[in-house]
Amino acid sequence: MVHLLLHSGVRIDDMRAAAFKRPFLSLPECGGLLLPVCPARERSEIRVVSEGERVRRFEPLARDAENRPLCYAPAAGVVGRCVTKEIPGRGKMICVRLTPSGGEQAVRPLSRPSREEATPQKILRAAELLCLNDETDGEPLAEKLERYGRNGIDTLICDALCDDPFMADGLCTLTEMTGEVCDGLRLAARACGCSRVVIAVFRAQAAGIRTVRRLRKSLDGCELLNFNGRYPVWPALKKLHRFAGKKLGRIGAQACLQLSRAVRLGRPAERCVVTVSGDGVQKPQNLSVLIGTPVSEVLAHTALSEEDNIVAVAVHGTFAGHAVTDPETPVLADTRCILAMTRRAGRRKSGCIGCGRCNEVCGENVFVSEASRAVKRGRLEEALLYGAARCIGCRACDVVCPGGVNPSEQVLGALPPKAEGAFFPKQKAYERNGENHD
Amino acid sequence: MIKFTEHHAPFLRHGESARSMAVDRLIACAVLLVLPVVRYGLRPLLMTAAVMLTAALTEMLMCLFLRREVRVADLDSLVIGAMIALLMPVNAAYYVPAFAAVFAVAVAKMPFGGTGHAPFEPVAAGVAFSTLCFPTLIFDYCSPAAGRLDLNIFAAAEAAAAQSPAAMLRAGARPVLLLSEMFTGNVAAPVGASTVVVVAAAALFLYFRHAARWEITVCFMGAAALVAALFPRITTGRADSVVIELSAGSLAFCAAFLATNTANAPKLPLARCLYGFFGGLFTMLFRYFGAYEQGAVFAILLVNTTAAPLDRLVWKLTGEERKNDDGKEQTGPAEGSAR
Repeated sequence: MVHLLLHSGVRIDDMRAAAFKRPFLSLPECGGLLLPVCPARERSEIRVVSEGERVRRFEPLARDAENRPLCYAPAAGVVGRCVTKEIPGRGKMICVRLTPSGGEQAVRPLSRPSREEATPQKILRAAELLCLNDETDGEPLAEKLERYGRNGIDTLICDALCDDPFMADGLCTLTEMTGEVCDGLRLAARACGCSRVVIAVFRAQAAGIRTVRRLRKSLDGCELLNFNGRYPVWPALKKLHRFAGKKLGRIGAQACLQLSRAVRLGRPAERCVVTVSGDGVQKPQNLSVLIGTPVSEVLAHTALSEEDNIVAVAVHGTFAGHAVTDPETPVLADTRCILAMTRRAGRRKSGCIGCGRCNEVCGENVFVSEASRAVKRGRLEEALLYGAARCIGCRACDVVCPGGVNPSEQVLGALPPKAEGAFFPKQKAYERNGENHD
Repeated sequence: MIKFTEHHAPFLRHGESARSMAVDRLIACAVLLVLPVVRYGLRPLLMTAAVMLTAALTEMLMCLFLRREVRVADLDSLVIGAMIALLMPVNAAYYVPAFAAVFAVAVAKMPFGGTGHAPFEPVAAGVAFSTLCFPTLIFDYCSPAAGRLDLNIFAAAEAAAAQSPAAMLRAGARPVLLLSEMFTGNVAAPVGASTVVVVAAAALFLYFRHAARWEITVCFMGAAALVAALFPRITTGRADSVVIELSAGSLAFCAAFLATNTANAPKLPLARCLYGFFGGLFTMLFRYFGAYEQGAVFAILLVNTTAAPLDRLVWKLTGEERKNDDGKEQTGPAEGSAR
């Protein structure tokens, strides 16, 4: 399933086609939703809707000290207790329970809908007010677009790459909701003052040849880049000749979709696209899931192989994802995939054998072996000289290490620890690496 | 019932392990044993097995002595034993390669942390030690026409002695052999180094399996060829000199198997090229001016000292160390990397 070649990156078997053989479905509302609001340490600074209170769809569930909404109810229902839950990839978060009570009644649009040309300020305001996040790195979309505007990016790329053996949420979002994704991408480009937009996909053939043909015809002027490479794709993509000397920005396909709905309809994100796959899933599928739905509920709707054979459930990706240890773990806007695995990726414990494969697969030219060795010796500044700051946390080096060492964890040890509630440890540097491409 | 268990990413890994990489090297060694077994009988096979066992036992004892977890299962000690046996004369007594194996594991490998941590190539260190201890025995080859040798590996096999091509070159004479004989192993040479064609095939297997780096071998052989062409030791022409020098002795074997040990070699491609070049150069210098007819193992030990400095030099020369994550030069650590 994972092949080692002599070039940077890891060649992977593409298992995403199985998910596209089944129709794209929307899961109905389940019995209870769990919605993360803020990191546990910030509990005293926020105001949450009281327990037992009835809320309408899209009504804010929590506000910060400055009365800005932090979280919206994706469905109408009754608010339950606040609990502290360990959210994969984010740490301890305060979560609000919501029991949907049916009905389509929603609050009036929170951000004034705009069917014509929206100004950049309006677009940013909508993204900020409606708490949109980019699913590729968990960064708040408004912050990201503002930063891109300040840095003057030349090209904004819609990331529908899904360079993962199983994950196909971005490609599915693009093929199922092409018009909205393209609209959202253009809105994002207008918000950050960028003129060129590109939609990047990875081996779009996984979605089917007919789907790709249909996609090409319906992009409405957006440039499509169908990339075929190795994991991780992004470092190789930004080195393409067509992007030489350009400052690049990157925004996920689902984020584009949510931005379009936020600006045109004035609504926050209520559903997200998730790929349910893995070698423990008999019928992989792309699903539209209500935000806050427990992972166990999603898996209950999926045809699994023998449940007793499932040894691990993971979200966010095959290589850089996080294990789910609590069945109540909610599906969030940046979940992207739920993997049920029947085999543990056996971690050998030989230790580093000095083979140097970690250096060969790194697409960001980090001298992984030396940087991790420097971190082990406590020489963090030396690790930075070996390019530790360029690490994007893709874990390609962990995938290929024959000794069972996780070099990426050691390399990232040279950097300040991520704050609780932040998603990827390297989200800022990841984007800097793209946007300041010289 | 689904088990929601703790598990660290990545959730899929490449199937390769330290053990599988050692298996690849053992397969390559096994290929090199075929012709010697056909020519001399089971003695080379028995000797190789005995030396492998010696190396494994030495590692186990050293692990117990150093109070470390016994990791013989990664098969690295077996690889060391096999390669040492392949660098010995087929008629050598057991104690000669055994000395080399014990030294390689107990002195060159284990005190530095075991597999992947030895600064010097253990096989080269072991063979070099045996060369210093038994300078006549280590180059005491038997004639390829000796036929099947006796199986008592604890004593030197009784067979007619023969001068190796490397010794003839050292004496200033062109080996009186058909070139085809040097390629088919019909020469007095170390067990696994007599057939250049098979060594090349085994090396290709290792490159294909990504267990060795082709840049090192190519630059190693290239440097040796350059010296042989520029300063031939025989008078029959430069091309003849190149072919004979590259085919004689254990140069090809050391270039393909020892110099490419990833644990001791540089990690950056340009550094590997320089490393291979210096290895070939030093080998020829040892051949021309050294005390012994072959000097590849000494050259490898010498060039091992340059592995880390070459990596650092190339890293600095390519300017990578000066770039921070936005591609701009920095004078110190990158600021505010994560948040």
